[in-house]
Amino acid sequence: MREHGVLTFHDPTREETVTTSIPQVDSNAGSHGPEPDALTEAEAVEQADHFTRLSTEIGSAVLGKSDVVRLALVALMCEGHILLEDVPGVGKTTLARAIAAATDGSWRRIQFTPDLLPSDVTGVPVFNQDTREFTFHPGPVFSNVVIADEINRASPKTQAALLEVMEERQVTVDGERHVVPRPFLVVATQNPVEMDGTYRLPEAQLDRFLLRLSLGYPGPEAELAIMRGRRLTATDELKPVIDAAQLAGMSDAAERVHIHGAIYDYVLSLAHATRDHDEIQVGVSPRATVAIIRALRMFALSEGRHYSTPEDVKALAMPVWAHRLVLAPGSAISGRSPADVMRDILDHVPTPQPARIGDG
Amino acid sequence: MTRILVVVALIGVAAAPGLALAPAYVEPNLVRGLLSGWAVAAVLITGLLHRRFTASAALIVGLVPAFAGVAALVAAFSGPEPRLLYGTLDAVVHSGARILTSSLPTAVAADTLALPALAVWLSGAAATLAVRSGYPLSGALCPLLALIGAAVLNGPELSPAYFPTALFALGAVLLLAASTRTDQLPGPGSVQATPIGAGTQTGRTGRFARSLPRALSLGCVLALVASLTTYIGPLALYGSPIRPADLRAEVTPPEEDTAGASPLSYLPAWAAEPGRRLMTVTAEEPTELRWVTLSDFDGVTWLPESRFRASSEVLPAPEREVPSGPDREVTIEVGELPGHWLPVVGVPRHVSGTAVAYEPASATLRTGTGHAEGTEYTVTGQVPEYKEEALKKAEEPDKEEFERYLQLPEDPPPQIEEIAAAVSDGTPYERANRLAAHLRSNYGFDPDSPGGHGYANLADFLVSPGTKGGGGTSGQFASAFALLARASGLPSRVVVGFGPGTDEGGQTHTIRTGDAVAWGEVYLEGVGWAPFDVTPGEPKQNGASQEPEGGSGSEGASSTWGVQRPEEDTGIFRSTGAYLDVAYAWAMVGRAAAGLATALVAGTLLVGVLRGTRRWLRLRAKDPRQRILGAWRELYDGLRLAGTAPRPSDTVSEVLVRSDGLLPTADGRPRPWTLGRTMNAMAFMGDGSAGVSAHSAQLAADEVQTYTAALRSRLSRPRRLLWWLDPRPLFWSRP
Repeated sequence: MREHGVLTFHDPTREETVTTSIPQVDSNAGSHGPEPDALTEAEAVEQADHFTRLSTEIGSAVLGKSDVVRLALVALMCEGHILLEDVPGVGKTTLARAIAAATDGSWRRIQFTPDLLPSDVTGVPVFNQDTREFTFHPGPVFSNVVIADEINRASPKTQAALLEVMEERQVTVDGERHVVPRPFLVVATQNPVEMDGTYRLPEAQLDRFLLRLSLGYPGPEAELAIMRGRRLTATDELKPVIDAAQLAGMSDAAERVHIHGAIYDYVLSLAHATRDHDEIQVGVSPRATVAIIRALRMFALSEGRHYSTPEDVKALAMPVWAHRLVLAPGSAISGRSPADVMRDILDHVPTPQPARIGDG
Repeated sequence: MTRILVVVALIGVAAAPGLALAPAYVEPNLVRGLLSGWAVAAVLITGLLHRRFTASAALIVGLVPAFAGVAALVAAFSGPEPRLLYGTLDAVVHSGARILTSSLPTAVAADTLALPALAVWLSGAAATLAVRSGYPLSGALCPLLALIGAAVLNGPELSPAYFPTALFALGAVLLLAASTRTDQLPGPGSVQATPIGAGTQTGRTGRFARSLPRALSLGCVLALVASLTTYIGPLALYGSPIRPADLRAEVTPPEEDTAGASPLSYLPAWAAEPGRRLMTVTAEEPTELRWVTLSDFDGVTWLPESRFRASSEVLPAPEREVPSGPDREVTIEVGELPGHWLPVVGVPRHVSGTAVAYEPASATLRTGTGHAEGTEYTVTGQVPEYKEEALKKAEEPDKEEFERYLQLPEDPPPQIEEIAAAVSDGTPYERANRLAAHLRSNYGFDPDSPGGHGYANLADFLVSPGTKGGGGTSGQFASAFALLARASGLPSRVVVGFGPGTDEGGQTHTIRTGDAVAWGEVYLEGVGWAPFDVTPGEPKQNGASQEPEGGSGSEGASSTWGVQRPEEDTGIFRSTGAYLDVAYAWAMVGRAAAGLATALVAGTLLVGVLRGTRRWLRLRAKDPRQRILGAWRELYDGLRLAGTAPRPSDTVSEVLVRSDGLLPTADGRPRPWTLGRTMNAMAFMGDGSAGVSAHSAQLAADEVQTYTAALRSRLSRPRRLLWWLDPRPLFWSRP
């Protein structure tokens, strides 16, 4: 087991005992107090450098998708889970594995099938002949990055088991709590095309994903490069470019990113717009507004800024919020997707005008 | 601020009808002031009442001050009924009738002001209540109706009310603009467009400041349209048979009982007793006076006019043509003159000193009430001068038009036909002259004759041509002349008047019964009513003053009854007959157009200067922050001018992407905008004091300057010129 400053990464694949102690990062974060000092520009640039190194490393494995990679990294830094929704073969799993590899963390992949049981995900207690006691045998969720492939193929019971871990960050078996390692990131993938024999994720559970991303097809240049066999770096060959201390430093720095009052107002009026919109049955929840603010801080940091802008809000509103909207029956039938409605809202709610704020 | 604007607009709208009606009165400015005061009071008092009462209750309670106002009018300008209570009732009840039966211009009196004042009050009150209840359009409706009423009441005699109409249009526009709810900005679908908390910060002043330019520009456009239609619209009517109806012409004044009151019947008695003083006249020179004109003969007597219209000091223009001549002014102190008629000089145009009624067809004046005796007044009239050539050239007028003056009752004495037949050839003037000569030369003046001028008397009086008749008084001769003229096809009437009287020194003349005289008048086409002296005998003998004489040869047409078109008496009346003076109207249009063009050029130059100055101030600001903001606003204006205004939902980078899309660079890459970084940093960095370097401010200003220049150069030539002269950017809200 390697020690990296304040954070311990566990790798169950190396047959190490799973610790149930609470990682130090939590106590560390708490020591900062409610009013962290404002981030300076220099610090922001320094943190952005980590981002750049990470995304360059991952970019060598996932070609031409730097914006999606950046968003995925933002989710990782915020410890928010990602729902990757796309057709097969565009590199969903590759992206997930690359993230895990580049951050020097452990990763496990679970292929969801209809006969997958909850205990296959969380782990089971096993009778130890030597000690004559039941020992908890941790499941695949006990790793830093969990790739839940085709999550909608499993039964709702199994889905619920995973989603519970995502929220609680712990597994309770036989009254014993088993805490999953930190950072903990679930990357669930979903195939929107083949819907036969699948179980749609309930809306309440979609709310637990910080981001829903879609990779999309690679650009023509990237696809040509892939075809020519100029093979990308295999995910196994990726070198960890950032250690746990640096990760902790980043989330610490993100806490200190300045968010102007006008930005809060803007997010609030966007949220109200989703709640009052005719085509939306259920707008975004307060959890969603908190989530977007969390993502905003990290997103600004990823660009080397120590303040966030309305552009950040616009960039994040779609991946953070679109999957949480429940359309009114009428508009769902007429073929409008939540993303369309979200785009509509973004196009109509006035942004904070920088000239007015800067003037006054 | 908006509230004050609404009140001002309401007052303007409510005052317009009063202003339009005012020129119909003798003292337009006084009436303008009075009715405007009523409008102001109506708007303010109704507004105050509406705070306490519901709209309908406020309207009814408001009637109390309105009637109090009428009572005040009665106290200030008492009409025929001086007692306050009865006077108020009389004014309210009879106002409409009094206005319609008095000739233009109307006298300023309580009873002629009550109706307009109440109409102004009610329309103003209704407008106020409607606007306060949120119906500005209905608010403008009531004063509009009152304005139309004023225009109808004024009729064709007065020039169109341009200014009040324009004032009304302006007020209505202001009313609508100020009442527009500016906070109801069009929102997309049901999306709530206002950022939470941002709306309250701008507050009322912000909303007003934003709506003012819009209201102003709207107002300018509508005022332009309104004034153009007001001024040019009447031109379209010119040449068409459409002419505004005269409401007064539709109203028949009450008929007075004229039985037994023919002034002709006084003449025999007066001739017998010529020394009684009738009146004292003060005039610069000896002047003949007209008293009563008699146009209708019923076989027994000549009847005076029975329908008079109450008139102010300025008398209406004569209906028929009158030859030109000088104005004379005389002051008359009436002694024991019977009847209610007042002697006048020539064709009277102005009378002061007493209330009068007037009958324009016969130019007869009477006192407003009661008897002429004891009245003292000053009358100005035009004395026509007749020219021999014009008289000789005169033709017979249209018989149908003058039917009234050609009527002969049945069974006239046979001598009339006989004498008329003897003069049936020649021009009308010659025929009338021959008739007059016949009477003057074949009869004698007899002050002691029994009088009477009916058919029965004339049958005894008249003799066949060629024989000498007996004697009679001027009444008989005038009556005989008029009937003979009618028999020979000439429109005629009888006039009773007075000679200049006895000079008492100091321009004073005493007129006695012996000065009374009657004569006949014949209408000659192209001249007008021409008087013919038909009484024979020496004036000395009968005491009558020197009757106007044309000499027995070229007799007739006394040379002094001159009337011609009155000079521009008050300027109010257009006596040319045409409804509209087209040359004047076109001159006005031309002047207005020239003024507009000048204003346009000056305004355009001003816009250019203002915009240039603003641009210079924006891009050369000393403070780097201000310079960057200035550059941003210039870019915004440029995009708007190019027709692609950024949406309120656009962020800085989206605006810049839009700019790049509008004007792509040569290599298709986005421009490296300094603005994109600096704008957001300035606004959202938190520590507002964070300096922006002067260098980056310079960069931002330069790139905007380059960009807008490139954007402008891509436009067509006229639009490129307009780029700097377009006034809209001055009114656009700052981004």
